[in-house]
Amino acid sequence: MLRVFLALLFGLAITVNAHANRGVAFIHGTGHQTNALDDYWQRPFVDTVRGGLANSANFVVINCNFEKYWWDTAASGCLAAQLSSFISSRGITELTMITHSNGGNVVRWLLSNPTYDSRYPNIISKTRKVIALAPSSAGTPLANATINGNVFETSLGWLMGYKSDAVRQQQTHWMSTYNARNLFGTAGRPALPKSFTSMVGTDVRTAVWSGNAYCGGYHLNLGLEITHAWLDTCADGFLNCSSQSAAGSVWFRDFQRASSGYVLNHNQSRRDCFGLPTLLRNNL
Amino acid sequence: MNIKTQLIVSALSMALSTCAFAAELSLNPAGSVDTVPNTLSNKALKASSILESEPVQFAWRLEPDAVLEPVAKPQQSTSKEYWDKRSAAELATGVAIPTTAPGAIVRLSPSGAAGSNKALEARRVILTKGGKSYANGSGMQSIADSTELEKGAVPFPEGSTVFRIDPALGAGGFEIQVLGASGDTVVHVFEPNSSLHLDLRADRIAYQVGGSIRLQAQLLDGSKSISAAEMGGLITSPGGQVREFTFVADKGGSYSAQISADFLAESSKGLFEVQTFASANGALRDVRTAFAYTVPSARLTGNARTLPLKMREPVVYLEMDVEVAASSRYQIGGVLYGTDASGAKVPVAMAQSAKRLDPGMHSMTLLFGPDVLDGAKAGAPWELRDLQLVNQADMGLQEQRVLALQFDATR
Repeated sequence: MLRVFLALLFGLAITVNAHANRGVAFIHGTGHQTNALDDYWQRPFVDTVRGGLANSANFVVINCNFEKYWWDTAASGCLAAQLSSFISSRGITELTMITHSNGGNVVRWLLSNPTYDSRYPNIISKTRKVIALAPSSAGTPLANATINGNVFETSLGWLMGYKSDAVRQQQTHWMSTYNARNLFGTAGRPALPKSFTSMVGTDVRTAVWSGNAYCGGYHLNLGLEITHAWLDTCADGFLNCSSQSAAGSVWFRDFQRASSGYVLNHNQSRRDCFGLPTLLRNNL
Repeated sequence: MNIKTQLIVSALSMALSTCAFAAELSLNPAGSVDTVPNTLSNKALKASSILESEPVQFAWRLEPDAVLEPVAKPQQSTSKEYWDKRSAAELATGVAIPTTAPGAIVRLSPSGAAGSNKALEARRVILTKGGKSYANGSGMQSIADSTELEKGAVPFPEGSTVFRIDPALGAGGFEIQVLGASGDTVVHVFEPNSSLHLDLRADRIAYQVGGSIRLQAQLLDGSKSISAAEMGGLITSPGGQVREFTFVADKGGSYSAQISADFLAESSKGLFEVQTFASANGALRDVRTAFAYTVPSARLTGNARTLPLKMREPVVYLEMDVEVAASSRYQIGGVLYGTDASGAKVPVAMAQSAKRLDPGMHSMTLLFGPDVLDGAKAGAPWELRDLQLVNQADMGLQEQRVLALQFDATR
């Protein structure tokens, strides 16, 4: 009887063959963004990338509070709301998510915990791939340094709250635990339900004679030079290459495809620098 | 979930509700690395009231050549750093900075709320070694004050300054004096060139109430273990519970501690932190690791069932019985392994489901439908591995079975 029932149900199933309607979402990193288009990504970057779509209006720039823990309604809840609205209003069938830094972790939370929110399954089903620019998949020693180890200071830090939850989460020992418990896609763990490929920034160049030092703002890049001291030789000034490569697969290391073999430091990997947006546009 | 899978879910739910087709299964006995709760709490976590209300299930394919670890290993943390907190008065008269290698990096950060202290400037720091003083940035390299650090999106507190002690000044005892500091300041010293490091590891990634947290620390100079003059520790919870503990010296130069896992339940999905501090021959090190902690409120009863049917569409449908003591939204998940042509067990798919459950006995389902089984390179006999029951209020691990079930759904 069950087989008959199933056969009847299958007979009713309609195969939907629609042309793909592709879209792209730009998902920022740590911070509370209200105008990420201008403040985080900047228009030339976004405009170049969305130019790779058949319908260049099929894009959304996410504005959420990624100072919060990933699972917070202000973080992944906000992301799910904005992605769901975008998918629905534009009829998106194949979504590419472009993330930067901790934005990759928020998306990985969503992909790893599809039953946490009833909006997640539809978003995942519509997702074609995630391109993670310099994702902090294994955290950063700089977050460890910021959330310091002094007894009294740590106790105070919890109460003061000025050290954001997102920074706390990106400590290397926290990410190690979350990667082993609540997130997928790292070595030895089940793969994510959709492709997650990263662009890895490998260095910071600030020599005044180097053309590599100015894109994205010379002074912005100077701060990353000193923080490089906490990091491995291969690092983008904020993240070790090993962290950027920890989840999914590596699409490329900056110098392999950026123009003139330049590197992309952590600021430059979200800016119109060295052909990066064109590489993204051609990969939508 | 596609239309076909949704239809199958409806059909199988109907079939199982009659129990006419179900084959009863029992979970394998729990092994030493499995997590099984001893007692259940009937207190609902505060966060449970704001969770999703709709039941959700989802599955996705896994590559058959994926190599999955049965149980994730805890990370070993290593540190070449230490932190201290000093008052403005102490900084004005001079604070000792012991170093063990040339080129130490010093960060000074106001420790009050953002904006409550004056920004610190490296050029106002006087560095002293062996009676000789260095001021106005001399004796330092790669100075970055608050302006550069904030523009570079570095997450150090507002008003921080960072500099490297000129490696030409060598290692040993330095003193820094900061004139005009206000409020308390965190003095953070990182020695990237030092061979002295403090390692710390917990024996598990996640603990439950009633368990035992075992920690191992080791102070090493390169690969040589050295004795610590002092070694202490502290556990801090996301909600502010604090527990001091002491280490005991082991044979072989390491130190161990065993702490009862009897903390109160917290709704936060944040982690508990272990901080360990050591000193030896005047040198200092701090290191931290983290773990998840929960007070369980649900468990697997061990009873499960499947449908042993040969159908045109490949389907594996499992029901697990769950005992719930406190209302919340619970999640069950597991990895389905199948048998390939060579007889080896290989990963096929991952499935999760979640729904709100009130106290009592319930069942939760794992569905592997045609969307993940069509074209799979492995089939029955199946194994369900890494079965996890989780409370979504704190993402706390209620129960985990490395090898939960072995069954043949098409028998």
